[in-house]
Amino acid sequence: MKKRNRLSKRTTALLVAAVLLLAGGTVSGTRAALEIRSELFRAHFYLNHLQVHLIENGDDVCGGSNNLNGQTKVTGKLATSLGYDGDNKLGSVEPGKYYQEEIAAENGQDIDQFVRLTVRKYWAKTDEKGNVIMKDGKPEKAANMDPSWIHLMYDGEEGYNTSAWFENPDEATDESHTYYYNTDLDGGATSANLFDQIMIDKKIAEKARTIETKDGNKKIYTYVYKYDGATFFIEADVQAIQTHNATDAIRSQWGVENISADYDDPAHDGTGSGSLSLN
Amino acid sequence: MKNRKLLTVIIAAILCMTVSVGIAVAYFTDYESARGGAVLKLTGQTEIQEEVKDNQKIVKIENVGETDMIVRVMVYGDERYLEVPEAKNWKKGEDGAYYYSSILKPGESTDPELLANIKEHEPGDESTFDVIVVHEANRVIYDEDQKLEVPAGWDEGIVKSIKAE
Repeated sequence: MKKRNRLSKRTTALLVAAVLLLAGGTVSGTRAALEIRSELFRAHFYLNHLQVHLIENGDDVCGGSNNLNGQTKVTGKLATSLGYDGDNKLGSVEPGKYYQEEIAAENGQDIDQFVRLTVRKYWAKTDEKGNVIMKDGKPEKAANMDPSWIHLMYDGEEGYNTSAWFENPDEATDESHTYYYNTDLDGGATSANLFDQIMIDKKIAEKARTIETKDGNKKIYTYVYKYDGATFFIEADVQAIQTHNATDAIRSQWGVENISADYDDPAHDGTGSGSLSLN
Repeated sequence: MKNRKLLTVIIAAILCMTVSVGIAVAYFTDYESARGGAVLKLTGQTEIQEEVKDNQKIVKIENVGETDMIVRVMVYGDERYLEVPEAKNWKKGEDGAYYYSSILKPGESTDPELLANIKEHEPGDESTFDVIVVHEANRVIYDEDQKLEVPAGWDEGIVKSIKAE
């Protein structure tokens, strides 16, 4: 007699329960989509995509990305005013000297967006020849050197442009700080500069020792600095997000709970006005 | 039995993917990222070149390092017969040293040379002396006012007058 291939009652019950649970999740998602399908959602229809540019000293350092939903990462070259010239040839800087380093965001589309800028500064490890040691495509950080020796400045003083940006303290570390633009960034507009100068603390040149050598009847004394050949990096990420339902969008996409957005768009065309604030 | 299990797995996967896609397209964002840096060349290097010609010692300093430098030269000898005139780009400080009045960039040499003239001896004086030249160079460091920082023991007035770049 042929044995019937049947599922036990318990297996069947579990299978049914699993399908119901998954279906329940789907229905929940569908219900959410239906809720969004309101007048506000139709306004979103105009937001075919956002585009933001990172601006350094007036130029788009990334050459212009055109990313839908931030799917593509474009890495540009920053700090051109410091003589950055390719991956391995870095320019030299003088301790204490102020160098132009204007950082801003530009809205690459014609609809409003909210933006934030994350800036990281750190020292990198170098090998015996002075080449930067790379790890996973990034410079390996030198933990024994203080990032606070790298001064980002605005209007001649340490710090950022507080009249146009605010910092989120919840996202701050010694080497990384995140700043939010106070208002929405209009289509095609460029934000006020977050920073405008950079300076390496002259303290870095304080630690030195003297070496004496002889050349014929000449004596030569040389100061050898402890941090000679030290290399620093600045990284900047500019991020844009939609203005509608921005508080929820920021929470969902950026994982930030303490930022609130306010945006009014009476014409429903993405050219309203709004602001961000710290809770 | 096998087909039924496979079908169950496929249905579950499709349901899960449907839920995930719904979250992924919820909001519009964009970003750009960039990185740049620079190296600190702190230890400078200069070389002195001396030449004796027609009762003259000709002194030239060359920046053979990779950092901007400021330079001064001291000349010692019998003051009765040694004369070191100030020249264009060479100023005598209150400390008796001769300061080059510009930043000496990598690859550059002092221009013109500093000249130490040995005058004719007085009749009957057959004494001899050495002309000793000491040169010092310091790397450029900027203070809060973007003026050159004065190394310890250097003439403050002259160093501050060197045009910073």
